[in-house]
Amino acid sequence: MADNIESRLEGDIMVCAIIGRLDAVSAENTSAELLSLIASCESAKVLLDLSKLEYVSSLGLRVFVQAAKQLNGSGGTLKLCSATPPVQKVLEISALDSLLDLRDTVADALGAF
Amino acid sequence: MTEQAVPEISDKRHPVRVLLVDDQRMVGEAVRRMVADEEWLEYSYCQKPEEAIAMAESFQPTVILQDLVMPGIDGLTLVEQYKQHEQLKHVPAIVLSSQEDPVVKAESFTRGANDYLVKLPDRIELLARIKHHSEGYIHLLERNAAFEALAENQRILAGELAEAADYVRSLLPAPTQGPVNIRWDFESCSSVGGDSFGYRWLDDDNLIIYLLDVCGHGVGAALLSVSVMNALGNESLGNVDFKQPNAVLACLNDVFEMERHNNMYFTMWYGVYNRHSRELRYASAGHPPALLYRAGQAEPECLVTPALPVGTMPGLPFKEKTTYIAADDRLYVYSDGVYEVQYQDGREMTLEDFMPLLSKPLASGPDGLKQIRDTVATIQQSDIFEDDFSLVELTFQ
Repeated sequence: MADNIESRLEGDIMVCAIIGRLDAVSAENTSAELLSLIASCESAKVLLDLSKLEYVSSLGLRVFVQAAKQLNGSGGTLKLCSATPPVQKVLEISALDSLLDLRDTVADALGAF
Repeated sequence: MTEQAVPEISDKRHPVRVLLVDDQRMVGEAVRRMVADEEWLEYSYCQKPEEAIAMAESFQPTVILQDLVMPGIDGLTLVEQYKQHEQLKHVPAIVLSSQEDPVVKAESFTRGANDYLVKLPDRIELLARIKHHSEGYIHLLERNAAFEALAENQRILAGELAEAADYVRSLLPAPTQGPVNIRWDFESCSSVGGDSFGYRWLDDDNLIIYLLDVCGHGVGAALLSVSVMNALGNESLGNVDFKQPNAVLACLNDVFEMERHNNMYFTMWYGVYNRHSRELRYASAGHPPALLYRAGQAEPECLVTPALPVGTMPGLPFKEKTTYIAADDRLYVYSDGVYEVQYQDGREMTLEDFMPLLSKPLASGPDGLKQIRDTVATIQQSDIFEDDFSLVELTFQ
């Protein structure tokens, strides 16, 4: 099990903070853990807080992609917020900043659901 | 203690073998009788100390019972010889002595004995000590065998990975001269990454150039990379127009949907250069920007069209952009492995750190691009890259 996700509920929105790095070592476990969290939570609204995510490789993008696919399949919504500069660059190159509505802060993102 | 207290050793690959070295035939016979009913144990007796080493070599004992006082050579000298012998050095040696003397015991252990028994010992105690020491030795043999098997598997795996890397390399096009001079530097990482690239003239006017990086390492990533290369090289993508970068990426995105390819996907940069119009059309998917250095300018133009990596989500549209090329412009297409390394202080190297390395034209010849790899290797203080290093340079006439 991945130990780099901290989740909490903000009203009907599940906020998951992803911590550390998403790379070849951690991506698979983190993705499985996040998908499990999403499946076990009744909320269809999920916000990924990236303020403590230091690095994401192209392989690590699968964490966001698979979570988005799972939520889209069940009519849910995934949003991102608070990306650190290196993570934001990767999100921009892969267009995930616009596809997943990347916001500057948690409060901003919560208000956008 | 009863006889039932001594459990049997059931390991069939390494039977318990006991070698007694003692000049007194009577002792040899007494020990033989003690172990005669033990089917889990093989017993051999050596009466002549000068034959002990040769006999141990052939019998391969799991424990040696060594008499202390013998004619011609003393038992502890033999113990020392066992411990210096390549084949026997780890075989436990139990000294059999007629003396219950702490000084002799201490010397025995100092000179390599693993245990000390006053003879003749009680049968149950003897069997228990044989079992204890043999089990330890057998575990050592099994561990060594497991390590050897693991090392052999690693050698085989490394060989197969090297073969996969060589195959990918064999598919890469040769450097070329002409309206566009193209050269490259490619180094596969130790676990084989998923990088590959290609370029060719579609006709007299249009050159295509592409580079892809399958996310992940290993033979699986290399196989997918080769599949994509073949699809592009053989133009086996249906009716797609290879002069339209966004159409090519969209087609690849549908053909190589990750759910149908073991959840693998890839980033990619694809461009088409028309030498008459000097137009360069390009599209990218999750890939770092190609860097276009105009003649005389140190800062590059970053050629990128943001999009998800190829294969991640079917049906996504891809955009393309156009720029114009002047004589002596240099274009670099690469994978993130060329700069995603760590400085010695743990800081990540960034694309912005990498760009200045290319700001001036590189030395001509095959080593020109290798200078860049050497510089990055110096930064990470290692010649071994954790990701494939792929760097392609196009210089336009």
